Amino acid sequence: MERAPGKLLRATLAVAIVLCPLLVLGQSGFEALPPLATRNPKNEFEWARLVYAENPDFSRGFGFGGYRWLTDAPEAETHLLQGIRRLTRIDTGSQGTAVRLSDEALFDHPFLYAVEVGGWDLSEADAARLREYLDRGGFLVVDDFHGTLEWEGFMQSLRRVYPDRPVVEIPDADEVFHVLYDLVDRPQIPGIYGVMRGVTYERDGYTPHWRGVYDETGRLTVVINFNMDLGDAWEHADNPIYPQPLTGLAYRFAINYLLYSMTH
Amino acid sequence: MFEFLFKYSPWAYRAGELSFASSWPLWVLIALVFAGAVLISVSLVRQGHLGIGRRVAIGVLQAAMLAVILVMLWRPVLLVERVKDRENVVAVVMDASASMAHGEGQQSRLQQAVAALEGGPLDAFRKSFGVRLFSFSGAAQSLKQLTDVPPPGTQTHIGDALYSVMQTGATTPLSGVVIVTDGDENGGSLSEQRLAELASFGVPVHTVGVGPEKNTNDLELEAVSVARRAAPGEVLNAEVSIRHDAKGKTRLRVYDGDTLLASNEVQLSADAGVTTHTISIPAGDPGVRDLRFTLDPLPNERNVINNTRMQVIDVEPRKRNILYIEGEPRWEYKFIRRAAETDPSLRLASLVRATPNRYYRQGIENAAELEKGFPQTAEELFAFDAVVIGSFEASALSSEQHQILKDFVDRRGGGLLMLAGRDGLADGGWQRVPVAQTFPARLPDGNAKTFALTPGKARLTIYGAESPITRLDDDAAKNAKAWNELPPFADMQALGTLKPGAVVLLESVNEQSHATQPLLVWQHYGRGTTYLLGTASTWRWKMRLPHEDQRHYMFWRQLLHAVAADAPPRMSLTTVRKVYEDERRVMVTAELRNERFEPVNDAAVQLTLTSDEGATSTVPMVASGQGDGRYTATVQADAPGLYRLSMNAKSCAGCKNGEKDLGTLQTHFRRADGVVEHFGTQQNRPLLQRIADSTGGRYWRLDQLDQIPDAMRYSKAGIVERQTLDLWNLPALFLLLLALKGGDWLLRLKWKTL
Repeated sequence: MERAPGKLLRATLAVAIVLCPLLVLGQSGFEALPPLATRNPKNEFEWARLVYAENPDFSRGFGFGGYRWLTDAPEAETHLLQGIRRLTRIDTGSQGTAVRLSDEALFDHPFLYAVEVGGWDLSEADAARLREYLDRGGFLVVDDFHGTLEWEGFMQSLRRVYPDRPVVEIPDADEVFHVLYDLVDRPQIPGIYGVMRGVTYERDGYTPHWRGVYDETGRLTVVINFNMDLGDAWEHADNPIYPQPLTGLAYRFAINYLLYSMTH
Repeated sequence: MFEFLFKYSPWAYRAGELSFASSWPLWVLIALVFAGAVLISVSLVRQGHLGIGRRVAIGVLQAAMLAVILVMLWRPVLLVERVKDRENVVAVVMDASASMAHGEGQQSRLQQAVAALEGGPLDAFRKSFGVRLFSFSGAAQSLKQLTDVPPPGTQTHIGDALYSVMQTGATTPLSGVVIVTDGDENGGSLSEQRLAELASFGVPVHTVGVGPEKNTNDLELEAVSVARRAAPGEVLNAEVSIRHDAKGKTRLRVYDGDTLLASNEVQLSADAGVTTHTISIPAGDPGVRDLRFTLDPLPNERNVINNTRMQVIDVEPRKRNILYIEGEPRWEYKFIRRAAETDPSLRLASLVRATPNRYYRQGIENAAELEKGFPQTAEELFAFDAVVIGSFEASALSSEQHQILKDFVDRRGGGLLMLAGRDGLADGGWQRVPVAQTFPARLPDGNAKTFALTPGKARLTIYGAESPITRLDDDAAKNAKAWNELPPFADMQALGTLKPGAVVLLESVNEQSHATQPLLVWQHYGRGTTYLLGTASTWRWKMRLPHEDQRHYMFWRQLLHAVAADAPPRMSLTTVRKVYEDERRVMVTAELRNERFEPVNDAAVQLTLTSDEGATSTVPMVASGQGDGRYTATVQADAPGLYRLSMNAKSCAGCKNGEKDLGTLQTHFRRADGVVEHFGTQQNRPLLQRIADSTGGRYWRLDQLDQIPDAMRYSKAGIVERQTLDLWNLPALFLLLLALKGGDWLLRLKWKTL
């Protein structure tokens, strides 16, 4: 049975009406992609955001699931890097970059930032590569994942990286909380939607945890910001509704992490 | 035969001067020979029936005969100085050291020498001279007969023995000395000065070499060179020299007491000679390392005593103390710290300017250390052995701090390492401050930036190939390969023009232009050393290689040790050597300085010697009087074993305010007997030749011994008489005349012209 041309046209138009905004949004998202990191960066420090594959079991659903690694970019790093340039003597550029675990440039960037890692999915090869990176002296900061389910999502991949090392709460006395700023009081740093809702948590992540993995010499190799969203605090530093003290604190955490990674 | 033909000994001709005794002048002789030749020629020209060739042959024979007759008429003589028979003395000195007990075949060298002397030369001497016999190992001893040679001595002091024999010549007409030895001098008694003293006696020394000039089937651990002191946990490189006569391999083992510390297989190079090898030794915990280096013997090797050498290292209970200041947080800093933290013998106290106003400190010993940033007093800075300066602009220091930094190198003897960086070296203005004088290069002084993000590779220079700083593998070829395979670094900084004393260990090769420039350079300055490193991204060697690869850490540990190792401690206690073989007197030197490293000259210093059996003796150390903070003492260590020396110093001796305890130091040395004579056992002919040449004597092989008495008769030393020996009646001349005339007659007979 032949379809009527009018019906086909109407169906095509309907699909186009639905997809066009998504394509536009998608294109704007691509425009905002940080450039892929190159070897031999032009500044001593280059903010490198980890590009990872997403775990479908922990997907956030329709829409942006494939770009969780891109959350808060590029405003988070462009804001934060200005602060780093202003407050420290670290030689850094003003834009961040992105790096895949398979890139050779990975090893020219000893500091990595990964966001929304509750949904990351590291293959065995990825995990081995990340472990090698950390064993050579690399440093990983993860952020913006909340609640029991996302913790499990995060740990599924981290166990592949570190089957032999535990994740522990970072003690208050650890140098990472004192390298520049003494970060003894550590309130929960919320995402922008929590702020808009008047709460600081997401899902069942009521209590913030600063956790980490230590190497055999007692140095932190991974800092885990669980049940908090530093990325939003940096991203919304110019947003009047985001509490300024929490933005300031998020900057301080970032600077301490960075200084720790550049001195330990 | 020679004396039958020429009447006199060949030594007379060597020593004498040819002359003519006739009162007629020599030109008359020449004129007559010429005139005779002309007359012979004229007479032969008239005999035209002979061909030209025959006339020339006859003419030459006749002219030669005429010339010989005329020369004989002029009465040729030999003017010689000759010792007076039975009025002079010859000293025969026999080496009786232990090395002469070695033998090739059935007889020892000493037995060979005695047999050679008693086989006739000694009697020949006695015909013309009084003969005095001596033997020596240390000092020379008089002998009544050769069979009285004492048991083998533990050392060979050729210079001392000859000197004491020469002194007997002050009361005796000594015509010469014959010394029979293998030349195995090991007593340090043959300095240039001693040779000059021997020559000043005017008595020729004839040296007779015994033993082979090259040993066969023998390995000898000729020398071991290793640091005298070390920090706990440090890995030391010991360089050994192995003398051998053929290609092969052996195994070198290093023991501390009975504990094996290291073991390497050593390939002996194809050309006979000396092979050098480096072996790494862990210094271990504080204390003394009583090291024994030993080579596995060759099959059927006879002398195995010379396969072993001892060394002593004091592992002091202090780390190498290094200050590192960095003007900005950067990855190079992180990875240098990580490298240093793998070495328990290094303490890296570091300052990083994290913000424009705040330093972050690491590796400090207390809360007050470096609290105000870079040290502001000499006392504070001089407590470190080395300083590392990174990307830190010179203008951040005061003029006083710059002066103490220069004094740190020049006067305190510290090590300085300047790193490349945005604010490092010339881009940090370091070319314009006093410490720039200590740099091995004149940094560029223009406005152009010298730090560039240009990738490059490190390449060893010939000096780098031999330096322990850049030794990533003990094997030279593997070491070069290890450097070639390192990944590139990401930046370079021009170091400027090298100064004359600069030593370049590494060059950088620009990845794009392939141009080279110095990368790691050092030089001594004053009491200290300064290093420049022209890159700030060696950390790429860590991040771009598998995590198991240790080359980055090795390089930095070795570089930091090298920069700090030569810095003298504030107080030191040293012996001339760490091992005394067959030598009992030990000279000890202490050097005392205060916190500003100024000499302490008014101290009361006591030195206690303790043997390994617990016997002690205490002596005061005496100030040098030169105002240099040096104190010396000599101790006697008779018995073999390991000795401990302890020094206690109190300052301001006799002051009203009371004494101040400056501290206590310890060092160790080892005494061993019966060792030294087993090294260098091959005949040292160059040394014997040098002794003979210096004194007007001659070197002889043992099988030439019978020629010496005759040569000695024409010595110019002792009581000599001048003699005129006629030569006109030499049988050789008459035979020559006969031959010439006979030849002339036979030719004429043949050609029928008689």
